[in-house]
Amino acid sequence: MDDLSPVLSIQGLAKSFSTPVFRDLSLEIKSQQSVALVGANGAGKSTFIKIILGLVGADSGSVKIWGQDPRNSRVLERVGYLPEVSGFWPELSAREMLFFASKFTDRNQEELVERRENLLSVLGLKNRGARRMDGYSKGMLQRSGLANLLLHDPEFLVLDEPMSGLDPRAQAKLRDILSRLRERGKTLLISSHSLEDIQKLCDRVIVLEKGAKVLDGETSQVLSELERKYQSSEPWDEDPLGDDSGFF
Amino acid sequence: MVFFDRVFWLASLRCLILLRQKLGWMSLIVGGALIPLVLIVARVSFVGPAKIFWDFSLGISFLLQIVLASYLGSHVLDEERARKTLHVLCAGRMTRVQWVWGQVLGTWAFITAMNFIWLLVSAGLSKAIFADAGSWIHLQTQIFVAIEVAIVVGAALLLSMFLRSALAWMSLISVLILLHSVSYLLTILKSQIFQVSGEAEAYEYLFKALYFLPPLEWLDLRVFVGYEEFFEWSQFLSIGALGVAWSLFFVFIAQRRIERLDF
Repeated sequence: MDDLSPVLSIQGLAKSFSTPVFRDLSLEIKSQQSVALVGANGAGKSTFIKIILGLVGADSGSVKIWGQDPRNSRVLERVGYLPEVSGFWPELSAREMLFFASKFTDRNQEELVERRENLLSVLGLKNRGARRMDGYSKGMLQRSGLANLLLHDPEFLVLDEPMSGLDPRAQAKLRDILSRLRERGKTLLISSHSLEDIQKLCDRVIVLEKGAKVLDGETSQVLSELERKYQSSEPWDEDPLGDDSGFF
Repeated sequence: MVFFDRVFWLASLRCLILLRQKLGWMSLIVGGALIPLVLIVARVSFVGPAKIFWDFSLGISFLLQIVLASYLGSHVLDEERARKTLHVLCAGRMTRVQWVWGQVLGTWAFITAMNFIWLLVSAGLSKAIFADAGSWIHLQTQIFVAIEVAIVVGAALLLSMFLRSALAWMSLISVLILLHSVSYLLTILKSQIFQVSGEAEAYEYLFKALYFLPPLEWLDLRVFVGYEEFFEWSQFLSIGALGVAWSLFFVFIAQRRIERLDF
């Protein structure tokens, strides 16, 4: 497969719940790209991620991962997803969760056992990973979620605000892991509010605003454009936080 | 093969989670605590203590299983959605159809395991205290309860895809009560009191329509326990097959419905 072939291809995507979320959104993410998805709260980032993973259906338009429907089991095998709030069963330990996760892939089970132990060790869960997850800190939960994400060695990783709720040390560690995955040629799609993370991890930034793609380009270019917009006090649409003059 | 493999492991995961959840192990404790009560009731009864024991034991087991099956079946989707485990599973591990089958099978297996442990404990106690280990009909009764549990879990999961989980649970319980009492209701309607009102015929048609829903009344053999040693195997298999077909019907509809849901 061509290194720059599209991993994700979206054409004319439209989705509405009670109000429209996306109207005619089109974009492509190529293999080995590391893309940041940026936007204010409510801009549609999480919905966008759920649509590309097949968790939410589009009203119209097409969403393809490697040219196929995202719900296709062969596609699923190559995709990893880390939700904003880690998806975990509090009744299980991290080790048990990884045991079951290994049973949900077609990969060689012996390799997975070795990979599971390595992941637990690298992510600092080797000893504490035997405890039930309802006693974990936010950082440990995020690391368990990351181990779960990486267990089947997916080629396309989708992370929804992975740094949210982590302390600075844990953030630095996670940033380092993601950076190494990027170097290994994984395709990353990261939803984030942190400009520092975006600068360090991504080579492309897509800015969503009210369900539309308002900026899309190289990281440095898009970030300077964002900075210029904020500094010039040019309103994008309206101040999302409202006018607080005279209140405080 | 991959399909069954995924379903099997998800069902195992579901069983393990239920076993560790408060509701799961509390049911086991409640069940265990009720057995001595059943024994006391049977011992103080004047006639047929063994029959009284079996009646109460199977009755409590039946009630516990149906309440658990309807509750767990109607809450699993919301629970997994709130925990985001549904998202993680369906976005990279398995198809939605596998998820439905795994959850139904896991919930059914957990409740049915409790069912047969209960049967074994009851048979042991009955043998030790009343010198009566039960007969084929006790086993047949519990097999039918297991089939009913499969129907209820499938129907509960399906309903929870249309309604909020609490509402799905309550409405299912109402339907279950109705389906278990069709012939009793028809008998009441045919009585003189209702004949006078002239509305009985209309109600009769209404209740006969319930026969087109799952035959839960036929699956309830507890009334025969103690009076019959054996339920005709051919009849038993026919009713059982019909029950299994209903259960599969609900799961098939649920797997069609889940494809349309947004998580």
